[in-house]
Amino acid sequence: MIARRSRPPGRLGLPLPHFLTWVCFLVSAALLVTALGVEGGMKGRLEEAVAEAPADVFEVFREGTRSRVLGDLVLIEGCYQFPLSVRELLQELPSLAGVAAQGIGPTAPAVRTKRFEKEPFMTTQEALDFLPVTPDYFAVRGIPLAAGRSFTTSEARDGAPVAVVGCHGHWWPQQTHPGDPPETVKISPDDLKAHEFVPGDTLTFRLEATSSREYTFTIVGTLPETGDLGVDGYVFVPIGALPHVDEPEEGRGGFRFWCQPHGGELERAMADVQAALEEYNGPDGLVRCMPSRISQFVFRTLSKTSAAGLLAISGLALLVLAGNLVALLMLHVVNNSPGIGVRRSLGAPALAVFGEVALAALRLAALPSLLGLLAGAALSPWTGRLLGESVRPGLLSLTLSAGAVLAATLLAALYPASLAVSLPPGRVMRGALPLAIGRPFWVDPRTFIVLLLVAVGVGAVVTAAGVGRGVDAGIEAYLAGVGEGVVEVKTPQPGMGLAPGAPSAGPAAPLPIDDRLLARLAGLSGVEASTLALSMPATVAPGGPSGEGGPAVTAWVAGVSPGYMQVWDLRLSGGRWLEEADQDSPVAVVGHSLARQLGIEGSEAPAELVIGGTTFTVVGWLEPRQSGVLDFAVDRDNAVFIPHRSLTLIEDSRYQVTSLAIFLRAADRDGAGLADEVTRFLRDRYPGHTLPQVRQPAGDLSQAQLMQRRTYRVFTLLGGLVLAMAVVGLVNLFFLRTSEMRRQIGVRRALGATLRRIVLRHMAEGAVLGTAGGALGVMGSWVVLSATGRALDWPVVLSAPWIGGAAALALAAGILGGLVPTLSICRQPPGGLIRGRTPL
Amino acid sequence: MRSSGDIRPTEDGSVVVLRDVTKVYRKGRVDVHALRGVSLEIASGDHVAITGPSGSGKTTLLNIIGGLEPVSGGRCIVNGRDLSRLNDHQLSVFRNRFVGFIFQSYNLLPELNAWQNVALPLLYAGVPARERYRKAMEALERLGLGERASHLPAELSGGEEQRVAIARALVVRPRLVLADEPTGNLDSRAQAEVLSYLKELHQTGATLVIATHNPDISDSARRVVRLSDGTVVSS
Ligand SMILES: Nc1ncnc2c1ncn2[C@@H]1O[C@H](COP(=O)(O)OP(=O)(O)OP(=O)(O)O)[C@@H](O)[C@H]1O
Ligand SMILES: [Mg+2]
Repeated sequence: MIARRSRPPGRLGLPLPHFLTWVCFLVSAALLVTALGVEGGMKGRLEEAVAEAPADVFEVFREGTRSRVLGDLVLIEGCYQFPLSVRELLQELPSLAGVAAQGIGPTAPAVRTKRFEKEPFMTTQEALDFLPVTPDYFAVRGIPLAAGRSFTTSEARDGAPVAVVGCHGHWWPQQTHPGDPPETVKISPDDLKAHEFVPGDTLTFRLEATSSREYTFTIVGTLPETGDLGVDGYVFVPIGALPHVDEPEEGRGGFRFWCQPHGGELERAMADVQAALEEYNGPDGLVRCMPSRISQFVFRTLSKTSAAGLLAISGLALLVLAGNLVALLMLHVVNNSPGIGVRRSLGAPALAVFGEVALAALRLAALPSLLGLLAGAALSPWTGRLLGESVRPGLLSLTLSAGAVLAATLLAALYPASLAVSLPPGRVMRGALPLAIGRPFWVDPRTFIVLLLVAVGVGAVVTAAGVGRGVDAGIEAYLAGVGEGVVEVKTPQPGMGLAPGAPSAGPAAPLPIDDRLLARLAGLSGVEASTLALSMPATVAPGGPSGEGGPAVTAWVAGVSPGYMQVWDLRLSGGRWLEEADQDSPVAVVGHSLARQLGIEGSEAPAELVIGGTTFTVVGWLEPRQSGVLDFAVDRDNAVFIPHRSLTLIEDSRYQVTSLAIFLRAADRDGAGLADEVTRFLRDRYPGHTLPQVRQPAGDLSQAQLMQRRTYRVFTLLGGLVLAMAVVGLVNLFFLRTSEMRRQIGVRRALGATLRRIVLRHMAEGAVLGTAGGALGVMGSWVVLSATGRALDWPVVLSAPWIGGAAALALAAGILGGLVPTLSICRQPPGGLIRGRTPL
Repeated sequence: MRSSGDIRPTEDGSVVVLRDVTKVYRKGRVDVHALRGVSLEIASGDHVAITGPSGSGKTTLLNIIGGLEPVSGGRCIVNGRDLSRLNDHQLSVFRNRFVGFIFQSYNLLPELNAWQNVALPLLYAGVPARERYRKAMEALERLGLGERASHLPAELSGGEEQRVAIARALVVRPRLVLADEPTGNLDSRAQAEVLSYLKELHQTGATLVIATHNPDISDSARRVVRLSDGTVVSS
């Protein structure tokens, strides 16, 4: 028989479970608001990070194709070995949704060197490179014209003989450092400057192939000296103006696209362009995708997982809360079963019962939820600091959180209400609903709920810790591959600082990146190894008697100094690395994939390579890149490394160096320290110069690692909070069960059961529940971890201490849950427990 | 602990001695005086009926004698031991070996079937499982419930339930049987049956204390103690 005792209105069941659930509502609501607020903050933070991040990490590696993100500019450059019609692609690209404007320059390999006689200024013949481009090429790349204009749309359409002339002079000509003895090593004459052309001049030249025919182009614009933007010395003409230039030979060549996406929609533009390229390239062309700027990648991945993680944790908290509430509401239904039964027998619909239960739940939920929402919002500056994120809970997150709590509350009311409705009213009236009485604990439906709660709690902790460890291990692997201590010194990137409207480079001469600078930087105290690295795409074919007629492939040719190997931690699978003595000799070390492609993989006989008509002797073979290793400089697997001075041996002027940098490896992995030292040195030593950019390729990663560590520590703590709520659920269950069983406990005591016996039994139940829940949680988190690990390419780390800790906590909670309420009941004399009064 | 099962009457042969026992329940701020100075001696092997109006303190008195509730004042000496001096474990053993309870509302454990209910005190006494079953079945058969052994309490009639409760009280062969309204919810035929079992029990030498409103039961007792408002009005 269930006797009703007067209870304070609004209180569900016993005071302690009621209070604990109250607190759970508060915590869950606050957590939700924070989680939703953080997501907003992270988005903002991501935008900031993207805006600030140095913009020079490769986005996609394709067989012979790579693209870079430069601020809001996408550069796709590469070599191709597929039947690509540049003109066709050109016509297609502007129609892509994400691309607002594009300039194209099939780079040197697509362009045959043309001989021309410039008249009336010059009598000597000089090689000039022609770049067919769209009219908006200069605008897209942010290069202001020094004089004149670009082509008009109609000129471009008709392929009119008009040209924009770039300032003459290559990067390769050496310049004197201030203070150095004057020593100029220039390949081409310096007397042909763009500024010597005036718009309106004509340029007359002959193409070698048709030497009898002369072409005359009208110069409509000239470009300023830009340094390393790769436009100096080129003659830009409309596409179609020189048909022989546009169409590459044998479906092989190189190209560059510069795309400016609509409204900064970089990703979309990238995706569109890549899709277009893939159509030409075929499915086999894609080697692997690499993150765009590493910082963007890391921030994006982290903020996505962080936001998802926080939301997941608050979702779990809500789940645990709902579970708690279900247990409590079941008690409520049991207590009110006579009333419910009477009303049902008088014809009350099931909905009315649900309404009654839901109302009781809402009465409990309303105040703490409201307080929790407000607290979450009010504490957002503090939680933001704790998370290392800006937390900005807006009206939307408040509304969403309130909605989620409300939904959880109403859902929790469903099961207890259905319990009361499922039985005939007559039985409900007689109180046929007692849950604990007459049922062993493993049959009590609430046991199952609590089991799940504990599993969720333990799972939350273990998963948060495991994901954190996994991400950490992933970043750690990247860091190891990147070389934490590597500092990169390179010229400022194109498109940055030469944007339209911005003042042009001005009088400050860019500091050349060359052997001399390398020697100076190598002498700095914090440098362990140093190298110069130049790279360009070129056609590489096996040479010599063994390689006659072998396949020609397009690969990256990297001119490096001997220190490159040490700086980037390359490993040889055979042969030897480049040495000082190799200086200008035609020797080469080949990357793993390239060697295989060329069929010179690990060959014993001295293999030979033909690069741009010059034969190089292969002296060494590289080991394949290990997974997780990022190549910031050159994709080592698809590269051939030669001494950088030997680059001059490659006669074919179709090839143009696309990147030039000095890499330094810091002693003791102190990349940050070395970067500072280099920056200071350059500032002091070369005042009045446009200084190179000094950065740590791995710096963003290290920063990201720190950030993620802190984030996941907080997550694990929050997981702990969920676990604590689950523990509340478990303790609640035992309080409810034990108090339902007072009478039985009294009878057992009257029949001679000792205190120890009863307490032990309940503790054992709690221990079983705690252990089973913990084991379930660990298994669940293992499943989640393997799934996310596989999806996001992180190692799956089950962190033993956290598992141990969480499981021990669950077990302890189970034992305590069994112990405390039982003790408090057993302390009462059995006579009182038996006397026909149920205490609920 | 055999000793607690042995009869150790006081010098004058009383197995229960109450001296000026009071019991106060605190209900909120109100004190309920259930017993107001009860002094009583029950001789070993006696058959005592405790009567009195509802709320007079009969159940309270039985609970105190059976070690289910502590006294608020006075002394309760059962089998030569002052119950308030026993620790919890000793009290448990005392209840298990010395006392057999028959409760006002049967108080069978609903999750256990008839024989398991009966075997419960044996379980607490540490009797091996096989032996428990044998003894429980024996007790049930004596009460004519052999075929009902595997039924749950919910599947038994009130009279059968009460008989199971009696079997449970008798299975350990207690020296003191405390029965609270053993016939409260039963019809006259069932009452008569229960009464005959109790008499049988008394004949085995157990001391019998029965709280009852039922004149038939009190008439058959050797001695009647009348309670009113927590005091003994006649004995
Ligand atoms: N746990 C308790 N808390 C407060 N008062 C109690 C408690 N138990 C019993 N009482 C009170 O003590 C008094 C004696 O109760 P008791 O159950 O001993 O009476 P009784 O003679 O057995 O009555 P009945 O014949 O109805 O069974 C009653 O007034 C009762 O309300
Ligand atoms: Mg009574």
